[in-house]
Amino acid sequence: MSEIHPENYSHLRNLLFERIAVNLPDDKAYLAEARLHSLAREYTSGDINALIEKACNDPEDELRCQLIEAMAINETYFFRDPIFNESFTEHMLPNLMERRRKERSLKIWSAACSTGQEPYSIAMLLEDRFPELREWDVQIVASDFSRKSLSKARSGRYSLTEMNRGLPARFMALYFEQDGLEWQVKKPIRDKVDFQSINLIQQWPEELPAFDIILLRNVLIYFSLADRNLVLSKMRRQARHDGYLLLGAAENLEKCSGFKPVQASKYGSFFQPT
Amino acid sequence: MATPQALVIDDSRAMRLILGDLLNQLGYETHEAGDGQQAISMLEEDANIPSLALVDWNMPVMNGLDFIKAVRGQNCYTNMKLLVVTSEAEVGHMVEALTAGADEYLMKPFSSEALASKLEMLGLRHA
Repeated sequence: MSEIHPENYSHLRNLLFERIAVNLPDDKAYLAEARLHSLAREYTSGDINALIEKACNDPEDELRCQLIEAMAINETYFFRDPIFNESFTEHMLPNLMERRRKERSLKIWSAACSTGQEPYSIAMLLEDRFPELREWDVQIVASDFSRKSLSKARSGRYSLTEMNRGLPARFMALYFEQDGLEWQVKKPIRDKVDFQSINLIQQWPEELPAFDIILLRNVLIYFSLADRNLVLSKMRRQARHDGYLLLGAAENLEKCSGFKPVQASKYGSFFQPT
Repeated sequence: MATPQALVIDDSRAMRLILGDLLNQLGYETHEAGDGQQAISMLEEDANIPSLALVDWNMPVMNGLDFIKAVRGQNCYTNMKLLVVTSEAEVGHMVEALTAGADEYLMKPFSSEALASKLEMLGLRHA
């Protein structure tokens, strides 16, 4: 595997920062070498420096987009952390449903959904645990900047390895069908999720509704303080006044973020607008 | 705290070794059986009931499904979690296993991470 020249690594870092606000540290060139390996094989006979140069000089944006997508962290799995089995289903969701009983509407946003396991987990959970919601206007919006991840998410097709991670067997039997070596989320569940291409640090679609629940788990940790504040201020406007923002277990918010903590567990933290 | 015990039931010795190794890494002391009948004999002979049994599907003498039915038919094993570990990935088998009383289902091949995730799902502690 070729080593990335410092100037090419610098180009790559700038590109990632400009497009998706991700701060790639100085000493992570080895990560870039590993993540860009297959793209380099496809376009520049395995030469990663040539790949970065080609992407930077490309009059079209296509290769630069592919480069960014290859560098992005797609770590996700079904029912990631038992947050979905605890605070979410036992407290937060029932309380919220009680408050929305008159309007019978619930809007949820999985704001960095990667390959779709998070929004499908929510869709399955609502179907399984809260059947009365079938009569409600429930909207699950799932977004990501990566076209590649969104395409996989929309297809709802997952490998055995992905199926074995976090998905209870009962849900596998109820909501998936096997297709060769892959498993596909059944259409009624797929239809419950509205996948959209949204880059959190760029302009958001105007038609996005105000949300009751926003999941932004394990995303802000990759952003600079300035970008984190920018995204949070937009989230603050997008969340209903008594809605919830869910972050990952390792994440916390500054006092001036516009959100206050309402619950923290070892699996994740819940916040509400101040 | 006492070391948690797990019973690995699989007709493949190689698989028993792999599973035993993974469980040891997760903090379990393991016991092995080559089929369901042997596993039942071991359970009957030992007063200590393991907190977990990993159960293969296809085995001679007594297969995984019959083992699950036999164990779930006895009150003394209510707290023993049954995790089916199999290359049988058909939904029909999964439903049969869950209906008979299996707690979870893990499809081969799998990673140690996937096994740990299933144990967590079952509320079992691991290292």
